[in-house]
Amino acid sequence: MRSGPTRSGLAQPQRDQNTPLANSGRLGTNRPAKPRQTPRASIPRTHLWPRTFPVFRPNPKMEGMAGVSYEYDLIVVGGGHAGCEAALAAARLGARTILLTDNLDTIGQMSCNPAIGGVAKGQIVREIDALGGGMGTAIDRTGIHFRMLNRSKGPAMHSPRAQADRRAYQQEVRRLLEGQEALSLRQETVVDLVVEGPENKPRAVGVKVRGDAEYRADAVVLSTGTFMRGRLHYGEQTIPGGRAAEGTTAAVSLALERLGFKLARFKTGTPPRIHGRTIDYARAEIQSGDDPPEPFSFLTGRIETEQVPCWVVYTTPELHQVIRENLHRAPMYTGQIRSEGPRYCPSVETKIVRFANKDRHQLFLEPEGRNTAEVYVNGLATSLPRDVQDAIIRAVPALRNAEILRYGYAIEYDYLPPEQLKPTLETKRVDRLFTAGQVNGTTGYEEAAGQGLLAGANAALTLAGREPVVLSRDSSYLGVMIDDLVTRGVVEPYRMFTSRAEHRLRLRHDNADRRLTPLGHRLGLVDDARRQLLDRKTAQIEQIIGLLETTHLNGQPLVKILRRPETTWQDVVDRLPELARFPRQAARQAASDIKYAGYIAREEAEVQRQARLASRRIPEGFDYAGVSHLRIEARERLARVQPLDFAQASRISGITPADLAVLMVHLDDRGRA
Amino acid sequence: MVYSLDDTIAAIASARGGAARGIVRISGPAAAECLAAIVRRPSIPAPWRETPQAIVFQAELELAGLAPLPADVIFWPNQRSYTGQPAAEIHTLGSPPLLQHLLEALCAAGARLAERGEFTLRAFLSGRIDLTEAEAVLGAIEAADDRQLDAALVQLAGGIAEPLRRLRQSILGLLAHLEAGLDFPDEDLPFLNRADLRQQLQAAVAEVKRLAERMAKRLESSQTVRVVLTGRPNVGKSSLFNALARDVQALVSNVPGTTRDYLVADLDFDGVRCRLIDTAGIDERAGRPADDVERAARELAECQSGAADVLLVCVERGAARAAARSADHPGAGPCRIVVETKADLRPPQSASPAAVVTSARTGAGIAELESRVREAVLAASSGEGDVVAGTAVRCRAALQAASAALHAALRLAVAGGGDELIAAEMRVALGALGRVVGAVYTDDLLDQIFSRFCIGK
Repeated sequence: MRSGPTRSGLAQPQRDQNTPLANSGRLGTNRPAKPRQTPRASIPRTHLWPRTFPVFRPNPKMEGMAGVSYEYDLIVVGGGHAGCEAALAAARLGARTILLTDNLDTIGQMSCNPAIGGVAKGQIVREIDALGGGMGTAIDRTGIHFRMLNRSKGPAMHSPRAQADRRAYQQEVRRLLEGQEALSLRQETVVDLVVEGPENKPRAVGVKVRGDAEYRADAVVLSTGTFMRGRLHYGEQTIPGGRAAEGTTAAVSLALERLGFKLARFKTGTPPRIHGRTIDYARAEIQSGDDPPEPFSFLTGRIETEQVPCWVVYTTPELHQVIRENLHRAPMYTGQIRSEGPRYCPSVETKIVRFANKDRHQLFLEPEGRNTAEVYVNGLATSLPRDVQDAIIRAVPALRNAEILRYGYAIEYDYLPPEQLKPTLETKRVDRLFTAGQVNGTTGYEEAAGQGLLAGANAALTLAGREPVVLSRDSSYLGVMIDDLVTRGVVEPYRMFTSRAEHRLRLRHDNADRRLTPLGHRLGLVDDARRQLLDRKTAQIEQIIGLLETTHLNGQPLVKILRRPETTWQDVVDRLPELARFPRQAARQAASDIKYAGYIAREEAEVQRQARLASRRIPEGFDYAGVSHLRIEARERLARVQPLDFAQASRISGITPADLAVLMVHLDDRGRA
Repeated sequence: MVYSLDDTIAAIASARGGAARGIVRISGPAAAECLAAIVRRPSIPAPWRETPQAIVFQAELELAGLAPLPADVIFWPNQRSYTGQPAAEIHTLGSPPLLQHLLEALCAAGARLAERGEFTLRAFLSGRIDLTEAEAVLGAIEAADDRQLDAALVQLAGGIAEPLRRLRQSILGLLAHLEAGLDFPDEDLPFLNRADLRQQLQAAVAEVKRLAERMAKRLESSQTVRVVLTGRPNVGKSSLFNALARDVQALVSNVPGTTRDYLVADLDFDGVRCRLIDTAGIDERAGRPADDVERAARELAECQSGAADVLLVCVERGAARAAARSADHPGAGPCRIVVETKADLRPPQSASPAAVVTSARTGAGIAELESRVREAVLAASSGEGDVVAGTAVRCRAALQAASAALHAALRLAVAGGGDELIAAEMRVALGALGRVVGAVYTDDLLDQIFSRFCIGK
């Protein structure tokens, strides 16, 4: 097929695209395929790698005319929210990691709204923080408007959210990465994946970058966001790009397709940004943040940054009229955009078409930072042409004279349908290739960061010969998300909602540390200091509950009185002033535990049932085609997902209890045979 | 009970008795071979192996020692049949011996006789029917009389699933309101106030109650009528039991539980079914100290006769008059039939007109007793029912769970409990109802939220 070594990537589009990369690990280099000259045997592969490992200096090796090759344990492709957490987590576990990005200045960039958290998303940030991730501390240091959402609801629904100073957030993330031992950063454009091994079981061993250089490693995490064959839509105009004013690449998509992966397309959109000096704030409603602001990270004591308000305005009948008159120019309605967008984040044109009877929609004016007048118009995502966007903005009284700084646009991009992943986020098709973030069909910084953390951790654990970590649905939103992705796939960009989590009463933001920090500490993701903080808090919670159990009022223990819906924490503190000396965090967790105890106990039966089903493993690579009594449809679905166990199998949509019964009988038969 | 799905099974699918048309059904991997063994001509139309649909053709059947028999054959060569396996139906003359002969020929060709409900089980396992339908079909097979058969057929047509689905949809809609409020607090959503919530929860509670009551009535009516033999020890109850259950010896079994067990047999009197129960004798002679075992047995017997629909009061010949007086006594309680036993041992005396005189040994009077029992059973099983027992039991449990959860939700709504707790209760209710109609709510819920509300910034 190939007569000799070729170069790969964009430079060689004539290469036979049907040839899997698996045939040759050296595909794309003209170096001869031979064992590496400098094995890294001197570095022991265990999690006991010294934390004080000196900063690794790669050893560039010039070989003939082939360009340069660098060697690491792990390569992370992409410097967005997923890539950053992946790189941080892997390096925390001691893997020598390099993060490659197109542009070091856009590390940790917020491509859409300048905010972290929100309902269910805030809980995810707390979980990332509980596992030692960077997102929580980064937003605590750079947030300019903190608000605990759903405060009027029960504690399980409380969700932290904060507006960030976009630029400051990016710099803070960059600073975290730069300060992380065993982690290198480099500006490179990846153009190809390098794999080795047999064609039916290839293994990722590196990437090629533009400019004829190669990075080799024992595992690769791909977190390329919307940058795979991205296409921006501004009205009738379409421009290739992964984000406004940035490039895109088809090379990674092509590499994945050559490896046999199936790719699909999603759409998402972003609103125009306007000049704050041109807003008539007198005609907008002010929305102030919380005072005092509540931090995201369990490590943050208090937030000192000066806070700024957001503003609320509404769309008008005039604005709706402008949109209706210009629908023939909206890519969403002309057929120019065909891919699926998120239902919960519709463009303003979609809102007006689908909810024609609603006479106004909310718009939030969110400042992009303290050192800029740029304002994000949340709620006005659109891909209408520029002149229509101008007219829309002017139809809002407070924005009568507003100037647009950046126009809104829609973007279509490739993603990897996530049924092609194992619950560890390693791909089924290529060993040691992990994917995380928007490339897996999700949306949201928090969802991306959470996947990044787990993908990076699992890559590092795998390299160290350790068991990868899979979080259960009753342990965390992260567990719910990854199980949803790999088991049920996605039909629209996946965003977390609390309603997706059947055990949400136990998945609270206040107890994320108790849920996950012990695991993180065992794995090596979390340092001793954080663990000790948790231990102290746990002891306090136990003391509080003990006090409430032993103190009686009218013959009833306080713990029982607190369980009543109408009793507040303050009511019991009034009865037992001793409680006031405990820190707020511990008191809150104790109160939530007590309030929900009955519900959580009731859920326990289902948790146990799932655990029992999960203990019935299904052999890896099991051939469903051989189970003749299984419905054809069930065989296809099971073969596509390849569930690890019966619990996961039972959650595949369209799989019935009868299918499971047939499968169990079959596997039991095999077991006896 | 695990049936092998690899066997090819065969059964007579038409009604018993001399109907004009008889149907024999086969299903399994060897259906084609079995069919080929009895079809004289034409051979199965080619190319059947590739044909997904049913093939219908007229054939002549060849059965040993019989003239060629005309038949209509419907043959599903692949997975498109009711059972999801290769299957066939042979429609021919309705003569019972002929159908029996045909069945034997199929078994000789490699099929085995189907167990009761086995076709339905296969249909269920292959996903052809859902659980409510499967139970309805099993119910049709098990239907004790024509009334229950009608009920099963109504259920098959969706009679039970429909009100449950409607109830589920209305709870789902209400939950979508709550969930949207929880997941999208910053959105400008239509406000569901507590009064509306309470009112809608009350409506759901009422609907659950209505369905549960309907179900309970039907459950009662579809339960098997219990016929209990009672009388002093050694009066001949067990002999009578064996005489009545002679055709179903295989079904007679010891029911463990106490040292002195009771015996049970399911009887079929010309299509009317009942359960015959033989209790330990009750020795009522005063002053006789009862040992523990005997006392336990007596308690058990009393328990059985208490739950009886029909009591067969066994007395020795001549003692019938006293017993008959109480048998004639109208009012509540089970129907009583006085039976004089051991007619062969004593000369005929002036028998009570109400009593049935029997001899288990000679068989005298047994036919008359059967006829009396049949009438009593029919009388006892009055009441309407359009739900089959199995589904009814399942529905009742689900409705109880749903009712408890909705009540809890309502209490919370009144007491000012959190929306997330009310939602948790509603999810329990939906889960319970979903188990009957076989649905899950997660995706439905998001669909409901996004179709109703304009969500998203």
